[in-house]
Amino acid sequence: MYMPSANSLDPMTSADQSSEASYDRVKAIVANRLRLHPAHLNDDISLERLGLDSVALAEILVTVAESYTVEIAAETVAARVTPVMTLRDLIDTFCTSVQPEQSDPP
Amino acid sequence: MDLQIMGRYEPVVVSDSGAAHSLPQRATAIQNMVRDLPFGACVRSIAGGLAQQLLNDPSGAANALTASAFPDLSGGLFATTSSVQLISRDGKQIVVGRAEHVPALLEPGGTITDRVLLTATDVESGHPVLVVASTGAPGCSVHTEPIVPLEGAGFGRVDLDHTPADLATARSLADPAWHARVIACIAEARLLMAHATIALAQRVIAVTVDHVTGRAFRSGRLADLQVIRHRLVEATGRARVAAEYAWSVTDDWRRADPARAAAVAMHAATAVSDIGESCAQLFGGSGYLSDNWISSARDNVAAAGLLLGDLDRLRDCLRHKSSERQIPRDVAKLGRAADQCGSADLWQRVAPTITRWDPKSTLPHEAYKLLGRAGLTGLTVPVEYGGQGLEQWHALSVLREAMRFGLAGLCTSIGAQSAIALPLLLMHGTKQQRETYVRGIASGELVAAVAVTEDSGGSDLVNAVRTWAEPSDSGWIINGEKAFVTNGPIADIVLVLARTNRAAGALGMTLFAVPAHSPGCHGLPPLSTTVLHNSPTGRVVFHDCRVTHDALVGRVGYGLAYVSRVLNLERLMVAALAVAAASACIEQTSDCLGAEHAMDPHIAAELIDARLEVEACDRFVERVVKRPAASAVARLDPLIAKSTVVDLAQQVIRRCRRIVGARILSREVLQRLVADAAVFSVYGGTSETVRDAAAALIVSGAAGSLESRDE
Repeated sequence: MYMPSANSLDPMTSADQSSEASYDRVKAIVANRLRLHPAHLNDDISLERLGLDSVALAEILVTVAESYTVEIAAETVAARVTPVMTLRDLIDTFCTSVQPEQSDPP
Repeated sequence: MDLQIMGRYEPVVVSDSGAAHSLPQRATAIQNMVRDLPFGACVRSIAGGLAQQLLNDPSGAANALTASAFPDLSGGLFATTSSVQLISRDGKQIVVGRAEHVPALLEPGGTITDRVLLTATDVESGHPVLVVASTGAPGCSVHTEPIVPLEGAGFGRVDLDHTPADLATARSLADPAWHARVIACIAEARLLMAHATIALAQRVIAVTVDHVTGRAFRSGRLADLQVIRHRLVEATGRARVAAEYAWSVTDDWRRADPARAAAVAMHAATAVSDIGESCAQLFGGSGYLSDNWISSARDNVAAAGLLLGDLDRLRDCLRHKSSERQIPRDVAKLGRAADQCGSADLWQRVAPTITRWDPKSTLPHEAYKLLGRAGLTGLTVPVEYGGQGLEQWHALSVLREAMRFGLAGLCTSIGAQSAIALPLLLMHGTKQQRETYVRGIASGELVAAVAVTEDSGGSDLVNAVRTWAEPSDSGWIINGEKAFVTNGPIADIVLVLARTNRAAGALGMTLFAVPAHSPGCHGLPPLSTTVLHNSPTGRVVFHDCRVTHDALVGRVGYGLAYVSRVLNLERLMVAALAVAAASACIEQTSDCLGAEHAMDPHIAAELIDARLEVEACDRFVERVVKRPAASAVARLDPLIAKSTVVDLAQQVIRRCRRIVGARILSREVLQRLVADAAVFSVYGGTSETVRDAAAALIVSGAAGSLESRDE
């Protein structure tokens, strides 16, 4: 399915609303971006094959950070992410790079 | 009440409980049927539903339908050739004649439907009449047509030789109320048929994408995907535009309007025939011929297009449609706050003032104060910051109105603020940045520019950005040079995307709001451009430019992601302006031709087609702008808008120029519109780049999904 209706696959409704970034919630955000249902997304495929380039990853990172009001250090993620890493490793990297939010712009 | 699947051949008009479904519910049900059932079943369901509505018969027993004798149907929708006559004889009514290509004549399993709904001509009065005949009645014979693409629809021919008609249901269409009801029912069925056709076309695209990506992945030749990206995006784009157009009419179906249904049908028919062609090409000869599903699907697409109607006759429906201009519709809805800036009057007043400055020159800074006083620079800014607090779409409506005066340059300058600079500041800026800059921009006191593009490239930002920002004790030191910066030469505040970490790629860039008077920041004089008059564009140079920590926008390393996300809004803005320009061109063209175009059927037809295309594109952009950003197609649709929609708008503009011919020389606004049209494919990412991005998005995830399915 490449053309789900506009309102399906919304990560914010399919994942529960708690404020913590968990594996499933990050995966829901990635799946949404790929216009797939999370269940149809194989975690062991490389980012390259999924067609996720560095700009896409940067956008996903910012979306995760904003959705759960956490901070994810861009440099830490950038140092660990490679095109050949699997989706599973990417999501783990996101989840482990989360820091409690620092002084947010008021 | 299960709307998912209504049963194999069930009409989708009423639910089990007998309550009527709304039109959007029925459209959704039909789309689901297309996913799960043979396409013919959907056609049958729509035909059955129509018969059921007309006969008020909840059993829906009369599935077969022929309707072409009815002139208002203007062909299509179960288009049949029918020459049936209703004759009164000895107090009885009988029907004589033949109806061909009647859909839904066969029940599943090959049994023939009980009753047939026909239009006939009443010999006595000459009026068309709807009659029902039993297939088992004397003199009625049914011949099925074995070779039809719509499997499950069971087409056939009905011969009627003095067959008694069911008197209870024979009603003359001369009765205005009944006539109106029939027309409304037919229009709904036509709309449903359009939904079914588009849904099928989308499935064809999905299967094609699976096929071509699977082929490329298996052979390891991913470069193959590059070659076909153009067609892939074209097909997807046409389907997306057609789908959103159909939904915009369906969702707004309170006032049944047959002409709008005809417009959707005509648009869908044109789009799906192009899509079918593109997909066949994408599949390639051998793949296409050896895949049963895709070849039968494409036959179905072609047949469904024919069922929607004969294009010439649908066009006739549109000829009489009032040519209401779409733009003021939204402007008229604007709140009081925007009253003064929403009206065409304002542009009528502002346009001469703006063009009084040398049209070859750019907009002086003072002009922004004038625009600010009129509320034009703060359309989307929340009221708390002194703006008009409009939704993006309403703000765009104001700019679209300005396109009627050929003010593409002005729209670009204001748009650079409202679609890029302001969202960036409002979403990621500090409280102080919002208070100072956003308020200043809204009042017209400050002019903002967004400096992203460099000489090394504008579209591949990950590699192109060389501008470097280094942390210092008191803040940051920026060095570099930005090119083609809209508003750059007159800006008071420049949003700069600079690299802050050379090793971190897309996560190594940061956004800064640099006051233009900062030491080391220089806006060079504007480029002299041949298009987009009144939009000052030029270089901004940073030479050891020192800024404080306060200049940081958002977080370090997130800059490119911020910019990349608002680019979608910019793309939608460009698409909206392109469509508004096309609409203005059509307006100018028919104005220029005067009564002439009404005389020439070819020109009239061309203008009708152009108007339809513009209306569909306009609705598409409107729906995408209004949609929440988290939806699944939120990434793709702005790219489609920037590529497919802009292409279509430019085609319309070229067509208008051709129709007007030499008369364009005396039309200043039209000249400007035509000249500025080219730039729509350049900014907001060139059409080529955007098409690549859309293609990447269309095939992205295919591997993840394919390999999960293979497991």
